[in-house]
Amino acid sequence: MSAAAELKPKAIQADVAEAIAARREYSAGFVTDIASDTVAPGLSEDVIRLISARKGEPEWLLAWRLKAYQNWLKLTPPDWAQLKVPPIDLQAISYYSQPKSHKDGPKSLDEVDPKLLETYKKLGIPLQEQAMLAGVQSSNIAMDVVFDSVSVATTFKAKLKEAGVIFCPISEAVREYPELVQQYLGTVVGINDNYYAALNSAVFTDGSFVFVPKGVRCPMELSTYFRINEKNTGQFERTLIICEDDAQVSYLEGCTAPQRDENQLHAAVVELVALERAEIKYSTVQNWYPGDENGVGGIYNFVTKRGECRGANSKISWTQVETGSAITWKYPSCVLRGDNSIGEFYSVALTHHRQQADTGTKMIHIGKNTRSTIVSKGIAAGHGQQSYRGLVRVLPGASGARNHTQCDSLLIGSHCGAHTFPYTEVRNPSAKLEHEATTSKIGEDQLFYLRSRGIGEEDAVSMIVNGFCKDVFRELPMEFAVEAGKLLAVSLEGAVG
Amino acid sequence: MSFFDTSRLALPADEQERRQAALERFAAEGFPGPRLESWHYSDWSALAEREFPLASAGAEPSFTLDTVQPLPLRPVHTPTPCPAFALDALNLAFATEGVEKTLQGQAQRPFAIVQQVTGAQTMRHLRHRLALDVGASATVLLWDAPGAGESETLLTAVLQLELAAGSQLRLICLQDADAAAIRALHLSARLATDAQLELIQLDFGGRRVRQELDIHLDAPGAVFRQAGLTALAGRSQVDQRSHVWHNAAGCESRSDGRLIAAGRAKAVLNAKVQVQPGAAKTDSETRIASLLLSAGAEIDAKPELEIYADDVKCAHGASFGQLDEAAAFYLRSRGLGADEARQLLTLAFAQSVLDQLPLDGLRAWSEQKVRALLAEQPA
Repeated sequence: MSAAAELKPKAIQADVAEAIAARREYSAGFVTDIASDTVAPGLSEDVIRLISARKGEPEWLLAWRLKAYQNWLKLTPPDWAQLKVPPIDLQAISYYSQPKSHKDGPKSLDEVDPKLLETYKKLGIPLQEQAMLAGVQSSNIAMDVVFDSVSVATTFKAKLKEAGVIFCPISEAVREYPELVQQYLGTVVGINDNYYAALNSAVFTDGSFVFVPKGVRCPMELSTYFRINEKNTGQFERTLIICEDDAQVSYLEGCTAPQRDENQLHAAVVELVALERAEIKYSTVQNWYPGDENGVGGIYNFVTKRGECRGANSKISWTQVETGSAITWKYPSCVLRGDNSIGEFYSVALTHHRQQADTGTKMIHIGKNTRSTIVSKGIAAGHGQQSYRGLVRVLPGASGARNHTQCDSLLIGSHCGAHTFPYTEVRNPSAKLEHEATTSKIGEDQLFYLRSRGIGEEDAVSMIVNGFCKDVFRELPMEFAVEAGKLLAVSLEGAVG
Repeated sequence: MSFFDTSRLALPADEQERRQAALERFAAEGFPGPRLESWHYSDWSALAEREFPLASAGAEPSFTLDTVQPLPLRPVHTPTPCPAFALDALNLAFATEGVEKTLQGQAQRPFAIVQQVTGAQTMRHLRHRLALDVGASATVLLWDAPGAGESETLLTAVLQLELAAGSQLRLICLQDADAAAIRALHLSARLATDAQLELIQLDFGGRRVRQELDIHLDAPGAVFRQAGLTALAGRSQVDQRSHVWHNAAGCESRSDGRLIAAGRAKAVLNAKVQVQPGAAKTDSETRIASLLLSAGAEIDAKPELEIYADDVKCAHGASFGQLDEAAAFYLRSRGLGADEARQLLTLAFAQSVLDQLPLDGLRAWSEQKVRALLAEQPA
């Protein structure tokens, strides 16, 4: 692997130098003391060229970005979701931000900015992972930390490399494994897929790249923490995970964000590719800043996540716990192309105060005997608005397709809303599908029983909610399951009484 | 757009003006298509190219009915303010006849409204208003009957229902239009305290059919029950959208939709229940069951819930399946032929709706319709 310093573009152009100067002025208002490299706000072809040049990208990627930008100009923001989205000024967003310490190229973990480690500590990153950051290699979780837009530290690389697994920031993958990236990037979520995906394709700065070669079972869970830590900096991560024949990987994504008053846009794209008999498990705990109880501030989380089961007998499983963000617009999907392939979606989404979520999944059955399972649990409290929106589509060739969907909503308080919009489209007479949905409030009798056993109201509600979500929590890796339970309890504080 | 000329209707000037405004609205929006979220599965935009002269008003049905009491079509001259839907606007622009009636007491014989277009390549627009007085009860059959053979016809109908406190209406909407027929029905109902609307929908025909239901449960105790059977073959496309509004506390809605598609038919059902703030103790259940009988057919189901109150019990379910092979095998082992076994099982699937029908003759006739579905495609 080359040192960071060698990977820089040979000549930094004049406009880049200018941009760096602009960034210095801009850095005055930062909340953390890490001096960041930030490009002045605004979106144009020049900004895209600048991002590409800063990252030393090959010509084909720049061309791809520019094509995505041209597509994006023709698209309009989606308006079909059950969401009230205030107009977003995309010209007020800065499209590139890089922690300054990266410029000096930390060659080992010891060189990671201590301020950065301090921030993670405040955000409550488990001690185990802190230790890992400090270089204590006793745990089995590898982590690619994204602080703002550039990965600054990667652990366990050697161990993964030994197994043949590539796990690195996508910008590094572009340099080190350009053929792989070029072969797969944009093949699951195309550059004109939707407004936010096109925007991401044009301006994405970083994200993770995972490649698990034939027959390899990834020796550990892979984990990435995304954080937004810079005022007015939209985050446009791009994640690409590829599992070749008979390969397996489990990927954990979690995010927390420091408190802000201004809305911040997060428009990530995640692409998964599973070849023959491959298995990908993707778990998310999303806890971006949700805004205060009056709906001021908070993250806009407009994410496109899609996996494609290309090979026969492959499997993709999405698990998500969504408690944060002011607005969530997210539909992790599975395209079941290979015969006998399996798609799964397990979701808990919670909206409190003025949060809004329109989330669900799409299962596209193309291959024969494809199966999918959807379990969605929505909880609405305060003035929160919660929608499940899901599509199950069975194409004419998908004989023997099977789907089971269960989506339940729980309402806490009389000012919230819970909505269900399931689309089912069937064009094959041998398909079997079931969809069940219920909406109810917390059972008075359950609450009464717990209270009579001496449990406080808030704890009782939290206990019932945890039980409601159990079907999803048990799909999460252990570390996340614990965190998810705590998150729900914290997020529901003040919802009753 | 020569056929969009309302002056041929020879109406008073002010009414002519209102109709012209409605027509302009329709012309601006055009025939709807998938660019509207509520028209996700149907595209009528190609109809803009066709020409349909107005059928002559006052045409009587081409047959007589004996078990029911026909409600004759009368001229209607009082269009309401311009509606939101494009097809409603089209209806408003041209509708000059319909049934307007207030029903009182307990009606013994069922009433019937017959809608028919007999002239080839023509269009007809009807506007009905039925009101039920306090405590009244009645059964009404709205029959969209065949009449123009193989030629294309366009019929739009708007039916407004007002159910006063404690009244009960059983409405049977039978759509059996010609294979080339284009039909749009918009039914809206307002239910007062303890009023009950029981709706039985049977859809067997039509090339392109769109049905919109807006049911408002406005006062406590209002009940809406719906049983729908859509059984299609050939190239029929029936797209149903229903929106039940729980506007008051303590109302109930139950819906059971059965969809069968054979040949290259397409059945769409979008059933939405919306519980407004304050509508506590709402009890709502929507069931959709679908049966695809052939590889070229398509069924799209979308049961929706939109809930803004917490003390509610709402559920919906949708299922897709096929005829049970084990059951078919059992029937064959008892000596039934393969076709007969499939017919019987298909009929069993539709039975929960057919059982609701109060008229024996209509039930027997509907059963034949369901059995005939399989005729064009042997097992």
